[in-house]
Amino acid sequence: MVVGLPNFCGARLTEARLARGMFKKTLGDLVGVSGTAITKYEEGEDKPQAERLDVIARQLGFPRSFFTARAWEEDLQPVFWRSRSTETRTARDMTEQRMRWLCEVFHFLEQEVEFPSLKLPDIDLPEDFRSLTQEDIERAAETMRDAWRLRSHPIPDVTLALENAGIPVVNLDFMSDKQDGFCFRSPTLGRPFVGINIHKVSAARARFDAAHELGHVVLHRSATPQQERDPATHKLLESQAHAFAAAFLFPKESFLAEVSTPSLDYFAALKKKWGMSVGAMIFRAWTLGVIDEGEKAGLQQNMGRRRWRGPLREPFDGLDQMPLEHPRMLRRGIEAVLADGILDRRAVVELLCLPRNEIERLTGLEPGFLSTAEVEELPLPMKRRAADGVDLAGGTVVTFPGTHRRV
Amino acid sequence: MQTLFLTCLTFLWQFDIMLHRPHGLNEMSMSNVEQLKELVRNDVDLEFLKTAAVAIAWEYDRLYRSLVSTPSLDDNVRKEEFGKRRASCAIDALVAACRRHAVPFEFKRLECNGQHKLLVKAGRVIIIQEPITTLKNDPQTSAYKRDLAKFHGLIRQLELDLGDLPGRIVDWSGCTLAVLLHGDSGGHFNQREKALGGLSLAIPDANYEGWVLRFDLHGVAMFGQVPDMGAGPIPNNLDQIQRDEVVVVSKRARRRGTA
Repeated sequence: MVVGLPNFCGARLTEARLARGMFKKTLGDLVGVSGTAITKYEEGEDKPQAERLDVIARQLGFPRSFFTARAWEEDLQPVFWRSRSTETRTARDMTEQRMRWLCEVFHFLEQEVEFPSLKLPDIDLPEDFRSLTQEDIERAAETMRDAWRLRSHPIPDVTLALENAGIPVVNLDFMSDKQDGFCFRSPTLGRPFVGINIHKVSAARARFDAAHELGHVVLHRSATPQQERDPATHKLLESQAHAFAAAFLFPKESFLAEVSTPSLDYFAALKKKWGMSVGAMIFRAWTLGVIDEGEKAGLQQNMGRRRWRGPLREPFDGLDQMPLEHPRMLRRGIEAVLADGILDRRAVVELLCLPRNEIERLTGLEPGFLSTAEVEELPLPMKRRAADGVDLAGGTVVTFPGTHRRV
Repeated sequence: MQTLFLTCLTFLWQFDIMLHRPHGLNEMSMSNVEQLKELVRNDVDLEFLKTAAVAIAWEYDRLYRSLVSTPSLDDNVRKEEFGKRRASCAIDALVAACRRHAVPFEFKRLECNGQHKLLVKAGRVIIIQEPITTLKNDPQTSAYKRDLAKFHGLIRQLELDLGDLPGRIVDWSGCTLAVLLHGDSGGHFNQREKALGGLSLAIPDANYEGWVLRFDLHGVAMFGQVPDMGAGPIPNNLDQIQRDEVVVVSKRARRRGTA
């Protein structure tokens, strides 16, 4: 027989636990139950008592209301992950929960505000992505540039380009350098979402990641979750998105006109202008036939000799030299809701049922922006100690109140 | 080296056709001038230019101070010495800016006198430096400059292998010569008159006899202003190329008619 809070949602517990990267046993130890009990809570076979839920909420750092609200039930597959093979399941689980919350936040805001509509041009591409050629990808990138009026110039802000076209972007610090980003489409919300990992990445890398995810949006509309999971087709999907990103950031025509000297110094000089890493430009030069395989290998070796390989090692990788791009769509959504005056910060946090810092991260708000929304639990006044004495004359007990301590 | 340099100069670039004339400016159409402007604006990194310009002003000041602090010299000798050494101010500033902004450069040795001349390659623009006395100075012709200007388009030369080249003849083709002109403020040897008085980036004609275009950089050097290089396809202002259209409107406000 199921006892405990009737409106407890087991799926929410799974979300919160996975978001914190915890195993069931670990959480059970923290809240004083077995791992099996946590499994039962998550699968709806049992529900915790109110006191137990308080402990769970406190240990996981979530408001209690989170566990009684409905979870986002939509299947977000296929999710295009740009990650390396050494990425852990736990790290991916942690990110997946944020994707669901991203949908929740967007859905909540969309009830109150109007976001830019999705503006993706129709591009005549083969239905099956396995039939795509390099020319198709170049043409798709050019069409996107034309449709978004970017012409053949460097794109000042790739994140802005995506958000101008109605694709919400979120910068997340995944704390895992094995994940670069993700992209998924929500049929319920009717638009794709892009996430970029900004953990120890340069601006050029983050721009490329954003363009890469756009590549998935444009090229892989018909890809299935099975194809995304299959190692062979996953590799093809990734290489096509890579080629699209390079073509989108540095169009063929401009590249051939500008890259007359395929040297590291020259690429470094172009990096600042085009916002594309030296490594990506070497690959682009090879793809377009400007350099051959041997020259590409030579340039890559020389990058190693100069110690340019690895995170934040290329010229202009410092964030003071090339700052990261910041998304604005969701942040503006929150700001519009608050400016409307119907909801204040506290109401927004309460209605979303998410931890304040998670809302701030997902919407790109400054850390602490919603801190005034938190319910401050005031400490209970301490009971004063009293001293009892016996009136020796009368035999009665006299209570002496405690003295005020001067601070 | 110069022989190698000159023998490797090959064919002309498209701009050469219009600039290979005695008085290029007069005969050039406005669209060609605009093309040149566009090229310079497009290829010369603004931050690089700002760094170099600001550094030149400081180098002039540093040179003045070093000469003043040499007691064995009188002002006439100091003035003469200043004139001789001010080219090194621009060279030091350009090299420092190149290193900071990862712009390729190298020193070419002239066979005739063994001097080393700095060539900076900012995109498709090759920059050299030249001291001037007044802003009205015509180009100070020399053989290597004339050759650079004449074949400013397509310079093919053997590059030193600095560890980043794929071991072949590197094509420096499609390059336009630009000259960073710099001069002091006056003729007397004092701090005010030995400060940087003029700085501009000039494009010479094919005979190196006149300037086709000049971009004033003095304001940048002295006050850090953004140089005005005229209209071009890459605007300095981000809004001109990519507008922020992420407009989020409250539905309630729209219904009220206040959005």
